[in-house]
Amino acid sequence: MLTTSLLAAVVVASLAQAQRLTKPPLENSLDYLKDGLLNNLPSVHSTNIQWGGWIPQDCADMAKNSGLNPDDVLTYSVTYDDVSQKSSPKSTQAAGVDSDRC
Amino acid sequence: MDNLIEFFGRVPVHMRQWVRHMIALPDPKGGHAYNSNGNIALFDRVNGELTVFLHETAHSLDGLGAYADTPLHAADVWNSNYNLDDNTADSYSQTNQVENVAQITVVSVFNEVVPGGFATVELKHMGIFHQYATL
Repeated sequence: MLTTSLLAAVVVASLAQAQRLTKPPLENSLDYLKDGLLNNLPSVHSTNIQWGGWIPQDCADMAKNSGLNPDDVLTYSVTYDDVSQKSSPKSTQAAGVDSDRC
Repeated sequence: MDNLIEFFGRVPVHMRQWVRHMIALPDPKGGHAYNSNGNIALFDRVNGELTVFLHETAHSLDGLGAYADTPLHAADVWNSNYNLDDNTADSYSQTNQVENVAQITVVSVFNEVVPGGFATVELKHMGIFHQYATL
């Protein structure tokens, strides 16, 4: 009985999250925010190192989901200059598909 | 790749840290970008749209624990603030609360970094005030 109630609650919660919202939108899109964002979020210098032949599993999966071969993906480690040294310095792994090669 | 790096670099650093991996992919038949378990896939047509970078990054914050309540889109604090407002941000926000949180995050970033904030570009900003103030 309890299991059924919990299951029902989870299903209801999931449905609620998936439900379309009914409040009217202020605008059709957020395109009107683009200029302000571009002008006030500066680009940050980074240093990039290309990896040879290694690709994180998640990137390989995303490539395959697009019908592409993970072997065609170029992978880089990107470290932005504004990453603090006090917190664990996190470099971002970035990958790109060279569409000419696909 | 250069676009990916340059535009992702513009995402505020405290948001950037929640993204795991990013991949730039050639355009499929449909779709713009998606977030999968904190990883972001961007297709050519939007690799250069800062609002998309911010939106997809917002999904990582929502789902991976950036907020006290995880995921934020399912939390009482989010839904109670949503209920206080008259509007959603835009048509895509109406899809569901997951997309709404991501779109509102874009608004919230704008409000933080642009002098004068969101009110400078939207007269009806009070229609979503509780939502973007929550973030």
